[in-house]
Order: sequence, then structure tokens, then C-alpha cells
Amino acid sequence: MRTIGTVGEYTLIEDGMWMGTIDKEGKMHISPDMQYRSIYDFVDGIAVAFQNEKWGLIDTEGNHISEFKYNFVEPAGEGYYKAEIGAKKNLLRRDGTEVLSVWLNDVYKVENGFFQIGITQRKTKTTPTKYLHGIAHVSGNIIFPVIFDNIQWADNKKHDLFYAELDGKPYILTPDGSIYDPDQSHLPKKLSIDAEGLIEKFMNWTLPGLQFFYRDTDAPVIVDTTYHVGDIIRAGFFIDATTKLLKPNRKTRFIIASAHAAMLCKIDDMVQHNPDVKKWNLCVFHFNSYFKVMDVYKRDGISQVLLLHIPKSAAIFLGNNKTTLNFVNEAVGEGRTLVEMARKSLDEKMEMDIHSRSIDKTWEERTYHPIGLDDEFYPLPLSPVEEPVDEETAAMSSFVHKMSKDVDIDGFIMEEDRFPWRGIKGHICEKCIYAKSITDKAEGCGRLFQKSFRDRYLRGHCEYWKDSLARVSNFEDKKQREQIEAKDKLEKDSDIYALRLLNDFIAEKLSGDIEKLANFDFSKLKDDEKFGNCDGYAFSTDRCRIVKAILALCFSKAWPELTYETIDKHKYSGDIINIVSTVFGITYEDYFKALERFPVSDATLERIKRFRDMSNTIGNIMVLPSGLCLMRNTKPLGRGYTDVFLDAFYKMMINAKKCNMKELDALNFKKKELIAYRTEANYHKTVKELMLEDFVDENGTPRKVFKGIFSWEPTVDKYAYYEAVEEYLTFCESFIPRRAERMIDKLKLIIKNN
Amino acid sequence: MSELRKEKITCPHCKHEGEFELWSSINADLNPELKEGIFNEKIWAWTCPSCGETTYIPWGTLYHDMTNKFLIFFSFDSDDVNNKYESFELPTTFGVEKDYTIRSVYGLMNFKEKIVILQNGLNDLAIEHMKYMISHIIRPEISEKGYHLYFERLDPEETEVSEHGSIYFFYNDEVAQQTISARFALDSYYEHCLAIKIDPRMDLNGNKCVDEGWIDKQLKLAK
Repeated sequence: MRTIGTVGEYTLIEDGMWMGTIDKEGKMHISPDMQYRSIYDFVDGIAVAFQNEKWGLIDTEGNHISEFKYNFVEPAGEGYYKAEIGAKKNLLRRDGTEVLSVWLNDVYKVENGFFQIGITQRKTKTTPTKYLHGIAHVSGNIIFPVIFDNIQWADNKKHDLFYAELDGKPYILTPDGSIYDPDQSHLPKKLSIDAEGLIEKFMNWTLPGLQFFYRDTDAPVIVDTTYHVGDIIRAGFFIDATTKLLKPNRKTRFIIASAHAAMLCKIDDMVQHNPDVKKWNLCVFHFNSYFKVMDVYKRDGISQVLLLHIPKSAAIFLGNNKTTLNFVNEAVGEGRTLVEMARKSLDEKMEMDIHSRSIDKTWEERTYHPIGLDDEFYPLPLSPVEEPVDEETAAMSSFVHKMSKDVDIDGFIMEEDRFPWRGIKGHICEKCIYAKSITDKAEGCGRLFQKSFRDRYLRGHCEYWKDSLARVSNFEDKKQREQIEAKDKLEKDSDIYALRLLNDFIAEKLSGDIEKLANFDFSKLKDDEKFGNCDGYAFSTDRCRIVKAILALCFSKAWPELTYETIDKHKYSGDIINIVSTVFGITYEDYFKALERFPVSDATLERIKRFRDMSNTIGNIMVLPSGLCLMRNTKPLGRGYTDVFLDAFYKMMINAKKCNMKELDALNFKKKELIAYRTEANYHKTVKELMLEDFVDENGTPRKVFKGIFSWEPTVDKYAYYEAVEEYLTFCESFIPRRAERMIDKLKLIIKNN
Repeated sequence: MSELRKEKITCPHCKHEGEFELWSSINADLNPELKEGIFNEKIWAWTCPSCGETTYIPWGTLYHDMTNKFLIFFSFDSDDVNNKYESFELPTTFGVEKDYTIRSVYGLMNFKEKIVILQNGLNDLAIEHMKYMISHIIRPEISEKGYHLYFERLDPEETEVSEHGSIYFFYNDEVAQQTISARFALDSYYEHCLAIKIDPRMDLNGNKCVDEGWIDKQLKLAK
């Protein structure tokens, strides 16, 4: 037993494979007998530990606090631990319970009780792989769903808000579970009055058809204290009035200027039904009619109150607007104001006789109550009363509205959005050529419509930004790259790209003579940017561009969908057929490891070197599904011996009893594609297309070509090895040039036909 | 319209046999007095004509508010009801307009609260979301003590904390034996409206019971 360090206040001891702890007094707390392979630091009496190949939490005495079922456990801040099972993660509390009821791809550090979580959404045919983010709380609630493109603390010091983007739109996430939209679209719209529109509608409602209506009363109302010029009043009850009265025989006259009276006297049915209607020339105003007191005029003991009938909205929004009302007063025409006309009316009528309807008892009773006052003669509230529910009154109300056409004006209340537009200075739009077209209401710029513009303004970065026409914006740059990539892909999908590369290669590297391709050692292209480029991978002959081009052209019928593009996208890979190391061990320049154990003559060594150079030529390279390439170095597939590989491949294709099912996965074909491909006929076709007939018998079934020995096998003696060397070299010296010749013939034909 | 049923009842105090009026359906617009009866709980009270003792008889009802366009299926049962979050659709023969809010509510306090929320024109899902966050995240002691937070009222004119007004919630602190009221800016309600709009877990998918339990269940899902 030995001391190996400290964990918190304890000393960590080791006894063979197992760890334990002792305290300062030497008392053992966790015995190595408990078989912990690892014990991490104790924090507040809890440590992460490893036992029976699983991780979990223990207390200072080695008791399990959590289950021991995790692939890994590590501290995640604020006393919580991140636990992993496979690719999924969760948090553990100090009591070992799991925080979330779902396991996720990513769980991050706990800060202020919150932690980011993530899901990897695998790509589909139409969408790329997406990494989605959300926010959870140590209570186990996922406060914000895992749907956001990204999330980060808005302020790294305060940690009180999160900045998030969803489909490119920025949001502020609040730890109280609410979401703030920086363009404030979530708040109710601001309302504003379109004053011009209101006045125009008001004029159109009030003026056309304006005429006077009369109503006299002896009710004991004190006009001076009740009706003040400028006041707004609401009728309060159905107001009867007549189109004509002469000299007043009562002390108060209401003269109503209106274009919206219900002229009952003009309805024949009504007149026939009740002749008084005609006798009185009866007109009615709705109880929710509004009037503006325009004038109170006195003459010879008579008070005349001039009321202007106005729509409800004008009563609310223009009630105190003197300019507008003065305009109405003056706009009635005939060279006189409305007030002057009303006064003149009374002046003239004072000289006339009393109209017969003024002395009609019934009329007198009907017109007795002063307009806009309650039973106690106090002004009625201005707010309109609800439409009546009793059938008779409701019918009357509806009838008066219809006849008078007194529906209120509308369409002048505007909704304003709350977008926090603060100009371009200090914002992303500053110096951008498109900023000149931005309006005060931030409705867009010279490049973007409103929504796109606002999202980028709030986000603070815009891919369209450019300070001169000559500059290429990030968007334009991306588009250009996409166009190049699309063209490239199209060319790689067809033979255009491969053919162009091959022609260039023949011209530049083979002096225009395609026959020289047979002996060209592709390993010499290591530093060649154009033909030897392996597109981000370390150089190898079977990965370089020209080899991929030749394979795509030569073997396009060997495998489903074999093109330069599918090789480029790693569905298929080039592969060396006869590998040097299979027989000669690790090779470096002129060093062959196997020859240390089994030295060969100089002549044989020269043959081996020639084979090494030949191995990187066209005749020794084939193309396979990438998964099969990876499997070729495994024992069941011959560890490099192509005859063994073909035998396994054949068994798989004919669905033999002992076929290696891993090969099926290695093909990585779609299910339907695999079913269609996996036939004996396709096996023969593939062998033929790949020009591997030397590895099959006259029936096309695989034959044993090599003894299949390996220099490192202890049972191999030198005689067997030398025999294998001879066999291998002899085969390759014949096979590779012949196959190269066939491939060149095929390439010549392709070039000729294109 | 409201529907009345008469049920026989035996007074538990004097065993007198009487008749109790049971409203299986209440139309708040046509019978505002019944709505008042819900809030003062008198519609569940029966006074024995013989001994004068009052007995409370719990029964569920269908509450209909035509003005504010909502229907509530109310059950007196407590919260531990099975399948209360299962999806259901009203048969077309019910003739309910598409823009109606339809809810099922369990428990009398929740019923009263739901009426107040919906007749204020508020989004009850946003309110429940907000209440959950207040009582579990911002002030977790409320839920830890087993108290339930209720919507109290809306005050658009109260602009001390926000230009949009204030929203009030309350809970009964049983230890202190007092009702605690909490005021929040109405902005926060609008932000919860946005949160539930964005959150795919807040899609009701036919569920009609929107309460703390449903929010709790949904917040355990990743998305």
C-alpha cells in the first residue's frame, strides 16, 4: 500500500489496482477492498469515483451516493455533476438524483442555477445537421426549449439574461421564463390618431346635407349654467325635432344643425300609419347622438341653443379642437357662419307668427325634455349606453341608426410598431451603401425588406453590409463560393471534371502520351498542388485528384453511382490491389522490415524495389466502397491479400452461409440499393469492371492466388517465405502492366468519345 | 342558455327530504346572477327549509361566457384526476365557434380563477406559464411550501412599474395566515405570451386542461 496524493483533506492510498483514503490521524475511511479504481477530489464531502468500469458519486466513507452506471461523471459547477451514458448527458444533484428527466447530447456548466443544454439534430435529405440549444434549471425544468440556433449569456458578468437566435432572429431570454423580442413585436401596438384623416372624415360626416332642426321647451332649465359654448353633450334619449318652427312660444329653443337626423316624415308608410308624423315633420336623433354646443343666443326672453350634431369619435378626439370646429362653423357657405345663420333664423322668426305645431299639445309633451339632461336636469354621462335589449326599443334604435346613417367615423386610429430604431450611427448600418434608403420607421434599407432588415439591425451583424459597390459583401462572397461549388459538384457528378483533369495530366505530366500512364508512379505527385492534392487529407496515391479522376472514368460501371463526386465525398475510395507491406512488412524507402528476418539476394531485392515502384501505378489501383477499404486490413478479408478479399466479397454477394455480414454494413448502401446490388451477376460484373479477372477461375469464382503467409508469423520458415515472395512478385509483375494497358485502352476510348 | 335540474336531497342534519336546484349549464350573459353565485359559492349551498342548516353540494357544470367567447367544463374533483390532459374535441353538434376558448377545470378556486383570467381577455396559457415560473423559479419557496399562486387582477392604469400597466397574483400564506399579493409589470405577461408562442411544447394539441400540472409536465420535455 502506498500514498499517491491527496483528495481534499484525505490522503489517497493505493493497494495494487485499488484506491482508498486515510485521514490525518491515519484512520482509513475508504478501504482499497471497496475496489475503487479512481477517487477524485472531495468537495463538500462528495467525490467522483470509478468502480466496476462505471463512474458515480461517493461520500467520504466510500458509500454510493448516486447509482454507479455512468460512463463518466465530472463537476459541472454550483455543486452539480455532469454524468454521461453513451453520447447522452444529464446533471446529478449532490444527493445523486438526476436533474433532467430527458438525457441530452450536451449539458453545460451550471451558472446561477441555469445551464445550457443541446441536441444534435441529424441531417436529413433536405436539412443539414443542426445543433440546437435550450436552457434548463437545476429544478429539472427545461425553461427554454431546445430549439434555438445559439444561446449565450447576454452579459458575461451579470448573468441575468440570455441572448438567443431562432431562425436568425434575435431574442432575449429572461431567467423568469419569458422572452423579449428586441423589436418589441410582442407588446401591444402603440395607437396614434391620424389627425388629418380624422378631420377629413369628420367634415364629410358633418357638412354634406347639413340643415337645421327645431325643438322648443318650457322646461325649467337654466340655459346659462347648463349649456356652455364648446361643451359636448350626449342626447340621452330619442330626440324628436321638426324641420320647421316659426316664432318660439316657449322660452328655450334648441336649433340642431345636423346631416344625420332620421327623417321619419319622409317615410310614406310611417306617415300613413301616423299622420302626426307629417303634421310635425318629425325627425329623430338617436339617444347616443353627440352634439357640440356652438352658441347660446338670447333675444326677447328667448334662449336659443345651437347644437352641432357630430360623430362620437369627433366628440372624443376633437371635442376641444377649436380650429376644426371654427372651420365647420365657417364652412357652411352662404357667406355666413353657422352661428350667424342660427341667430339670423331666430331674429327673422321672432317677427313671424307661431307655427301651428308649436301649440300642438302632444308635440309640446314630446319635446318638453331638454336635450342631454337627465330627469333631474343634470348633464348625462358622455359614455354611450349599450344598445337596448327589449324588442321594441331595440327595433327603434336600429331603425333610427339606419335612417340617419349616423354610424361613427373610423379608420383614423393608426397602429405604430415599437421597433427601437435608433438611427444608423454606431449601428451595423453605419457606412453601408444601402443605409441611404432607410426610412425613419425602419421599414427596410436599400437591400432588405423590413423583417430581414430589423433582424440584422438588432443582431448587430449583416452579411449584406458593404461600404462601396466595389466591395464584395459576405453574402456575395458566400454566393460566389456556392456557385463555384455547385458548378464543381455538377462537373464532378458528370465526367467533365475528371476528363479535364486527365487531359491536363496527359499534357502536363506525360508529354501528351497517354501510354506513359502505365508506369507513372503517383507517389511522385506528393507536392503537386494540381494533381496530387488530396483535398485536406494527408497525401496518399489512392487519394490524389488524378487517381480519383482515373478511377471515376475507368470504373464508373463497377459500383452504383460511382463518380468523382462520390469518391470525393468518401462513398468510394481508391485502394492499392497488391500491397507491398502485405508480404514485405513495413516499408520505408529501401528498407523492408521482413527482409531483416528473411534476407534476399540483390537480384530479388531489385525485383522487390521495382514492385514497390510499380505498386503506385495505375494498374495496381482499384476503387471500393470506403467501408470495404477499411476492412481490407482485417483478418477475415485477408489483411491485404486480394484473393482472400474477393472470396469474402463473393460469399457476401451470393449470400453464402458463412458470409461476413460486416461487409454489408461496410458497403454503406441504402437498403433498396443494397438489395438491388447484392446478386451473383453483380459480383461478376464488378470483378470484370474492376479488371480483377486474374483473381478468379474460369467460372468467375474467386481462386486462391497466394499462399497468404505473413513474414511476422512465427511459424513461417524462410523456405515458405521465399516461395511466397516469388509467387507474389511473379503475379504482380504480370498483372499490373497488363491491367494498366487495359485501363489505358479504356481511357483512350473515353477521351475519343468525349 | 342555462339549464336547471332538480335533485332530491336529504338534509344531513334533520333528514328532511327536500329539492335542490342544480345548474348543469350556466350562461353568464343570460344569467349574471348565477355567475355571482359561483363567486360567492351560493349556487352550491342548500338551506334546509325544515331545520335551516346550510349544506354544500358539490356538482360540476358547463360555464358559458358568450361575450368573452369561452366555455369551461368545471369539475369539483381535486387535481388528482386521471387523464385530465388527454386530448378531446367537442362534437360539431355542440355548435361552438372556432374562436372560442374551451377549457376543462378541476377545483373551485381554479374555476373562479379561470373565469377571471378569460373574462379579462388574457391568454390563460401565458398566465399559467408565468405563474409556474414565479412560483417555481423566481420564488420557489411558494411551491416548496405547497402554496398555489393565483391570478388576482389586471390594472392597465397602474403604470408605476410599466407603461403598459400591472398584473397581480396572490397566494395564501397558511403559516402567516395572510394573503400575499405580488405585482408584476404587464410587460412580463406579454413576454410570457411570446415565450409560449415560440415554445413548441406549449402547443395544446387538443388538451383542454391548462393548469400548473400541465405546464410542469411540458417543461420536462426538451422540445
